[in-house]
Amino acid sequence: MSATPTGPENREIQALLRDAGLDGDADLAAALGGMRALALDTPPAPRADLAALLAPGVSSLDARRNRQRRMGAVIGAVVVGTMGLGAGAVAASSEDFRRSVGHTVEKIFTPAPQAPVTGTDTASTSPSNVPAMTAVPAVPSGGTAPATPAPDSPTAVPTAPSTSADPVRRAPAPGGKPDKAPAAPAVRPSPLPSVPAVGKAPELPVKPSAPPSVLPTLPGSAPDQGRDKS
Amino acid sequence: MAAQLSDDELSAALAGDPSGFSAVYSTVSPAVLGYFRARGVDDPEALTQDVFVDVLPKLQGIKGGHTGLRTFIFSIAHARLVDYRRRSSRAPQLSEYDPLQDERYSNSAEDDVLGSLGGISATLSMLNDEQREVLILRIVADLSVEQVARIMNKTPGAIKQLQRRGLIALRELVKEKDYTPS
Repeated sequence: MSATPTGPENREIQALLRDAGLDGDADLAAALGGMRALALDTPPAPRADLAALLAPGVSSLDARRNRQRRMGAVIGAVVVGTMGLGAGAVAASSEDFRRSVGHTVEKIFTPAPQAPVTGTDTASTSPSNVPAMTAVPAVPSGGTAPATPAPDSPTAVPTAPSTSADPVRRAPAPGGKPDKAPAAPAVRPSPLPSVPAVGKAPELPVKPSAPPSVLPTLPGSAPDQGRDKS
Repeated sequence: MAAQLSDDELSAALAGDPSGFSAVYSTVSPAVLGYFRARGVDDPEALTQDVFVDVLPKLQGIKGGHTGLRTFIFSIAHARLVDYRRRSSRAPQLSEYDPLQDERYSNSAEDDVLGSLGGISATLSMLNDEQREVLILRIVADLSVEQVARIMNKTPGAIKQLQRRGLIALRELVKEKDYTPS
């Protein structure tokens, strides 16, 4: 490498200086020759990606990457196809395999329709079943001992209060459950006096029974007293 | 320039043939490397290789023969240099090791041999940026005024003006520094 250009490079530099009206300046020509010498180096050794690009048969790194991607897809398709062929060959060769596969397929598919049907049944029948279920546990919930007499209690209780209208509503009432007891007696105060005798809630029947007793007595007694007084 | 691309190599490169790629690289990369060196880039080899990784797959659509090829390559190099300047302006400033500040300094054999090269780079760094770019593209990259105008997106008249002012400024700098070629 030489810092002082010779030959055509020197002529180009002289032409450049002549264009600028600076020809004849030896120092400036030498400086420009030094600049030109910067471009006379050897090409740098290509790094890996550039060397791959310069290698024969590679015109674009993207093309090579795409080819690798395509190769992956092709290999995957071949593997899947080979597995399918292998499974088909085994199925064709052994009858037991076919039978077991058919059995498993049947097992898989036969419960499948039942499962949704039972699911819909439970969903649809739940409203009808739930009251029955709630009615039945409501009877034993009254007490552990009356669990067995619960079926009997509807028959026994109606006789005691002499009301055969609602055996189901009666049932929780003698069970002595404090939550359900007020609901039933609130409607009918008359059978409730019999309930406190069996259950443990004497106050609840008293409240509904007291107002009717007071209310009739007041109008009854007031006019009588008024009449007596008058 | 030291080596010229033959027509066969050029047509092979423009057809996307890798044998033409290596010919283009060996012919043009020294000028690109010199361009980055003259602009004072930290790692001129890496930027040169970035340029050719960018350029070589795109050679197929180039028109204009040798001139069009050089213009295309140096326009990519110019864009890479602009990117490098922007990136380095955002990056933390690296302070260069100055051997003259080192007490253990002794004359470098490379500096003795290539003293003029280091001198001209330091001198060029004192020029206006556009003047420096025009002079480097004209002299180091060996491009015509029209090619430089296309790369820098200016008119040929503006390039000639920048070239003339750059040469005058360079002459003053050379005289000031009592520049002596080795």
